[in-house]
Amino acid sequence: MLVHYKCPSCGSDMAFDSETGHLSCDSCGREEHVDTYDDIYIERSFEEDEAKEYQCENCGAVVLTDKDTTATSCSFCGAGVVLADRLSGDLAPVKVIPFTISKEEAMEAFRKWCKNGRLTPKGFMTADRVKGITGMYVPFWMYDLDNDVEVKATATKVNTYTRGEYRYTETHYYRVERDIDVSYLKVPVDASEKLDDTLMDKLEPYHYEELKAFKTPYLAGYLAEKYNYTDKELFGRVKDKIKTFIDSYISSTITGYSSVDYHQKNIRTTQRNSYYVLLPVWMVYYDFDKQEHTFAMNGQTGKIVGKPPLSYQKAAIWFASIAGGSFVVLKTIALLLGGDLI
Amino acid sequence: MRISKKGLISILFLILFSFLTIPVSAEEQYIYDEADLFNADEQEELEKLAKQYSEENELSFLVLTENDLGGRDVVQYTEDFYDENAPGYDKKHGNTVILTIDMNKSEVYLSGFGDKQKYLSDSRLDEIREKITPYLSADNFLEATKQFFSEVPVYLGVNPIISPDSIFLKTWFQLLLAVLIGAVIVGAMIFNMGGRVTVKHETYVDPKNSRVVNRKDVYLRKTVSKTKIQKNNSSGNGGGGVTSGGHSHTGSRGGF
Repeated sequence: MLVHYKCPSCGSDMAFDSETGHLSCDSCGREEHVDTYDDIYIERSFEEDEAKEYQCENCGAVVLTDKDTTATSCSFCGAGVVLADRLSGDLAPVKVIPFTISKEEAMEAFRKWCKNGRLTPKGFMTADRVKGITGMYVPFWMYDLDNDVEVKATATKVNTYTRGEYRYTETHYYRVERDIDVSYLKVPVDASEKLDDTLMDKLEPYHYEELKAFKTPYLAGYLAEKYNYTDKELFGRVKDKIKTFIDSYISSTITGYSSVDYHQKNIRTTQRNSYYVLLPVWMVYYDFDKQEHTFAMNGQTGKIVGKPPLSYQKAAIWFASIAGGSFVVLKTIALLLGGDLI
Repeated sequence: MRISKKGLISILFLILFSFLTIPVSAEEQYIYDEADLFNADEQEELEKLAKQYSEENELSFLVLTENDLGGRDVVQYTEDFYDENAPGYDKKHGNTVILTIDMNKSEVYLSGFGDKQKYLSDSRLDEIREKITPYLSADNFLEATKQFFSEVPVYLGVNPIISPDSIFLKTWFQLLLAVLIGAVIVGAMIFNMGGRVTVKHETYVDPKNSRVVNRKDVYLRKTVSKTKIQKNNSSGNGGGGVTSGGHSHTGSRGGF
């Protein structure tokens, strides 16, 4: 099923505008609130199965999509289309965070980021070879997790003192036990197999105040994907992710000791809830030195992640100046203390 | 030119008076070689060196050698010597560093008096003593004394918070440290080029449903270990003290 959002005034295709948070029409400038947009202007066309070809209702061209795409633009007329049958039933997202950064702002922010690259080659910094920038709603699972933690450890307190000619070291041993309940809300894990997990992890955090009930018009004009993994399949990954959180929480409850030796750390994680959400990401493809570099920008906060190319020359200059500066400082201190010049 | 009788008398008085104020301290003695460790030439050479070092460093360099301390301890002997002879570069009972060699018990004692004690602390004197002990053990008293003369100014030139032998004053170490600092900082810059994970426990925790349900800290036992504080083969009280005359001093004592 292919869905077009038609402008009530002029009949053009409308797209979601990140600045206003409304659907807007490029032709006549009309804006429509997502919640009040009347369904009668939605044009739908049905396809029988998970076909990879849709027909654009606007210009009649064939829209080719891969099997995971849920929103795209017609490559001929540019109309934003949403593949609604891939967003219904089990595949219906519960929530969405709309884009707050427009394409122009994203491009501008990316250019600025490139310019600030302290270790990137000069040619890269101008950002003049950006091949493409794509706004994409990436499928995530968000988990509400309850954890029952049992910790057993031996901890020590050490103090030293001198009596006469001897230095005494007293070590006090303690048996430390903690039963901890700790819950995490809306921990996101990306559910698309195309995108690099570590890249997506670095994009966080998203601000959840902007989390909206899902409505398909938010997707108009952007690319969107459906999930490749179910929440059950990704449960292991979210457990790994919160393990570092739990560890830091545990150690924050065991304080005042010189050393802590854990014998037992039982973590029972139960899933209270999981939501299928779409989060906004600007993907930037940049050709440099015959290689394509992929960057991702948080479509809400503007945080940019991705490995830029490294200029060895710049790294060497940085290293030389930091090491040289440190040496001068160290030498100066030594000279002030009465050390020798050489 | 005619000079009046009155004027002549006053000039004569001035000359006489100026003679009186010039210190009558004849040639000052630095080497008290009661144990006859040095021959005449050596004695003369050391006296010259001691005088030179004393003037350069505003600190009297004394050397005492003795076969018989009269039943006294080497520390006591040095203290009594300082009280009685009142040496010092700036004044009587002034800045002095003394090398005392007791041939009877094969003991050496280094002591610092006066204002420069913080530059000649017990531990610093320990370091100097350790450097000259090998010469003393080899009965090379001339070289030991010369080493003493040349080491003390090194310590006077370096801030008391750090030993002149400290690795931090070595150029190769400063270079190494600078290279390490550069490598760590540039390494971190390269590592963080692609963005960092900035979420932590606090980002997603639900404070209403997170708490420590049960907390136990039970004292089990205690172990005590003791180590003897190293006092570089000293016999008895090794460090400084106060003389019977009330002069405080630093010191380092050891056998050879």
